[in-house]
Amino acid sequence: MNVSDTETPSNPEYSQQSHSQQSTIGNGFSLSVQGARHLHDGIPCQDHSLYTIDGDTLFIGVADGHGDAKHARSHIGSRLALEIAQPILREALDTLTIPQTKREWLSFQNNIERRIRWEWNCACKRELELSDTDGTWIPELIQFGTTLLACCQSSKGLLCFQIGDGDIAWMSKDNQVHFIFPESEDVIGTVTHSLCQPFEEGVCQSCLLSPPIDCTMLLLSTDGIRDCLQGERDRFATILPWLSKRKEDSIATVAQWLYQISTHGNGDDMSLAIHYPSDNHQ
Amino acid sequence: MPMLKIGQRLNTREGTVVQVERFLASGGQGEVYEVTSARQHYALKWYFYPTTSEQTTQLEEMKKAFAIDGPFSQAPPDSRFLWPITMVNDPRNRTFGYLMPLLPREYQGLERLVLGKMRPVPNFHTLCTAAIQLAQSFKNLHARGLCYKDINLGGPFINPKTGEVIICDCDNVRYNKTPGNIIFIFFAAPELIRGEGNCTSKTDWHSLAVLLFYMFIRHHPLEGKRQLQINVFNEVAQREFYGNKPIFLFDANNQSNAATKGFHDSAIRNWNLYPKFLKRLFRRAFGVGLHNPDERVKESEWIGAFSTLRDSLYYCKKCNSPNFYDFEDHSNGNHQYCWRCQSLADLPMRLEIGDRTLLCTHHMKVYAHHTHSRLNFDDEIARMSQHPHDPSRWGIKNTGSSDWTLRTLDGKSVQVPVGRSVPLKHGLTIHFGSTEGRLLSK
Repeated sequence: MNVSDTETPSNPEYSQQSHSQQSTIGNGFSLSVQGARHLHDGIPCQDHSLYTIDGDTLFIGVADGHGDAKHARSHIGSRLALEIAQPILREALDTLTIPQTKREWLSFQNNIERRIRWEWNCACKRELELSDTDGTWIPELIQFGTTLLACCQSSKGLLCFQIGDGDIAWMSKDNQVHFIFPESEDVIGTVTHSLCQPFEEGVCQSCLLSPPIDCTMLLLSTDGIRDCLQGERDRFATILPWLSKRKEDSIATVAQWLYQISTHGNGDDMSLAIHYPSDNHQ
Repeated sequence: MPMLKIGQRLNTREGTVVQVERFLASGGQGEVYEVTSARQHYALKWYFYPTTSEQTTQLEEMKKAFAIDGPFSQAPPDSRFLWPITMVNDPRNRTFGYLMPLLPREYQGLERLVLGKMRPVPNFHTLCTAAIQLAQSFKNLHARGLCYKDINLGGPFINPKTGEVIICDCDNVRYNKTPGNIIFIFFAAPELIRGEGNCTSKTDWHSLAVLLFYMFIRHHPLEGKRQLQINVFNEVAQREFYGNKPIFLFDANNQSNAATKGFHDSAIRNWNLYPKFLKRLFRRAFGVGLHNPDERVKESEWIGAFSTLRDSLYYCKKCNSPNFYDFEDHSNGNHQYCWRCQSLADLPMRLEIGDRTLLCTHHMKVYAHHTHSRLNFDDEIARMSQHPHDPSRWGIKNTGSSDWTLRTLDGKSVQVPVGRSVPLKHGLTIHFGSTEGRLLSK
C-alpha cells in the first residue's frame, strides 16, 4: 500500500492539501485547493478533503467550510468534520443490518447525523477551549460552519452521507454518470445546510448501496466546481469521464486545473476526492 | 411483480366471487388490491407465500384468527377499524387473503403527519379530535378483550380536515395474551422487548402513548441525549434504550436521557406548547408506566385529556398563533404568553361547566361529555355560530335535542329552543338540563 499526504504550497501562489493512497481495493486521492478569491483576500483555504484506505475499508470525503466572517473558523470545522465522520461511518457500515422499513432507515440515518453533529460539536468546543465540552449546541459553533460529503465502502457496501450542498457521483462501466442523491429542493441559491446548525429532521441525506456496485469511479465534490459550471448538474457530470481519462495526471496537475476553474469562476475554494476501484473490488 | 393479476377471480370462504381490479400497495406481510364483489368495492390483503417454517406458522396463526372462535368472527368493536370481513382462498392453497372495506381517499397515514408531509396540515383542534378518536377506538377494542398488538404510525389514518380516524392493518388483532408477539421496537412495551409476557391491552397502552407523543411532539419519547453518545444505533442499542433501560427524554427526575439543545429543538419547542396536565400524563406514561403496566395511562384518561386540551385552545390576538391556555397558571395567578410573539394571553370568552372550562373560539363545541355523560362525544349539545346578519357577532347555538334556559345577570330567564343561539355576554348562565354553564370574560 502506498500512502501520501501533503499540505504544501506546491504552487508558490495558492495552497493545497491532498491525500492519496493505493491498495488492493483501488486507488485515488483527495484534493483541496485555495480559491482565487481567498488567495487575493489572504484567507486560508476553508475546504478539507480526505482519502484513506484502512484494510478493505475506504473512506473518502470533502467538506466545504463556509468561509465568510460569521464562519471565521470554518477551515477548522471542515477538517474536524472529516476526522469525526470517518470512524462513525466506518462503524455504522461494519455493524449495519439493513433496516426493514422506511421509518427504521430514517432512524438510522438520523442517528448517524446526530452522532456526527454531537462529536463535531464536542471537537469544536475543545478548539474553543471551553469548559463545557459535551455536544450540546451553542451559538459559538456557527464559527465552524461546514458542509460534509463522505462515503465509506467495504465488502458490506457503500454508505454515503451528505449534509449541505455538493455532489457525490459515480461512473458505471458503460461510462454513464449517476448521482447518489437527487438535487436538494430546499436549498436555494447560496444558502446551504450546515453542520453548525441545530439538528433538524430530514436535512441530511444518506444511502447504502449494496454490492456488487458497477462502479469504475467514485467522485465527491464541494459545490465550487459545479458553481463554476453555471451550477448545472449535466455539465458537472461531464467531468467524470474527462477526469477518468486523466487518471495518470499528477495531483499537482489536477490542482492546477482546479485553481484555473476557480480563477475563471467564482473564486471559491475547490475540493474533490476520487476513488478508482480495482477490477476485483467493484 | 404483483402476486395477483388484474381481472383474476377468487372465491371467499363462503364461495362469493371477487375480482381483482387494481394493485394498491405492498407491505411487509403481503400486498393489497382493490377488488369488486357484487358490484361493491373492497380492499383485499393477500399474504406473501411463506418461504420459511416461521412464516408458515405465522400464516397458520392468521388463519386461526379467522376461525369461528377467532376475533374476526364478530362485528368490529368500533366502526373506525377497517375490520376483516371474510377470508379469500388461494385456488392453489399456498396462501390466503382477506376482504376489508376500502380506505376512503381523504384519509392519510400518521407517518405523513410525523414527517411533516400531511396536506392540508391538520390544525391542533383536528389533532385533538384525532387523538380522542384513536383512544376511543382502542378503548372499544380492549373492552372486548382484544389487543391490536402492533400499534404504530402505519396503522391509523386521519382525515386532516376533520380529525376523523380510520385504523387499518387489523389482521394482527388477537385476544389478550395470545402467544406470538409482534415487536415493532419503536412502539413495543419494554417488557415485550425484554421477552417477558405476551401482548395485552396493557402493552397496547404503552404503544398508544408513544403514538400520541409522536402526534403531538413529533419525536420518540425515549430518544434523548443517550442516543447521541453511541456510534451505532443497532438492534442491541435499541433493545437497551426501549427495553432494558428506557428513560423518557422529559423525565423530571432523571436527566441522563434529557432532550438536548441543538438536537431535540423541535421536540423541546413542541413540549413547551402544552399545559401541565398533559405533560403529567406523558410523564406518567413514560415514567412509572414504563416499568409498571398497571400504571400506564388508560384510553379514558387520554380521551379526557385531549378533550380538555381541545377546549383550552385559543388564538393569539396579536399574531393569530394557536396556543393552549394552562388553567393551572390561571388559578395560580400566573400570566401566560403567546409562544410565538410573547404577547400576554388575551383570552376569548370562556364557558365554565362544572370543573370544565371551554374557550369560546370559532370551533368550540359542547358535547354530552361536558354536561352529563362523561366521554360521550357522539351527542353534540352546542357549537359556536355567527349571527346570520352580522358575521362578526358570535353566539353559542343550541344543537342538542332539548331546550335550554338562559338566566341573565339581572335574574331574568329566557327559553333557548333547539336551533337558537345565546349571545356571548359575560355573566349569562345557561341551564343545559342537568348542569349549568356560565359565560365569563375575566
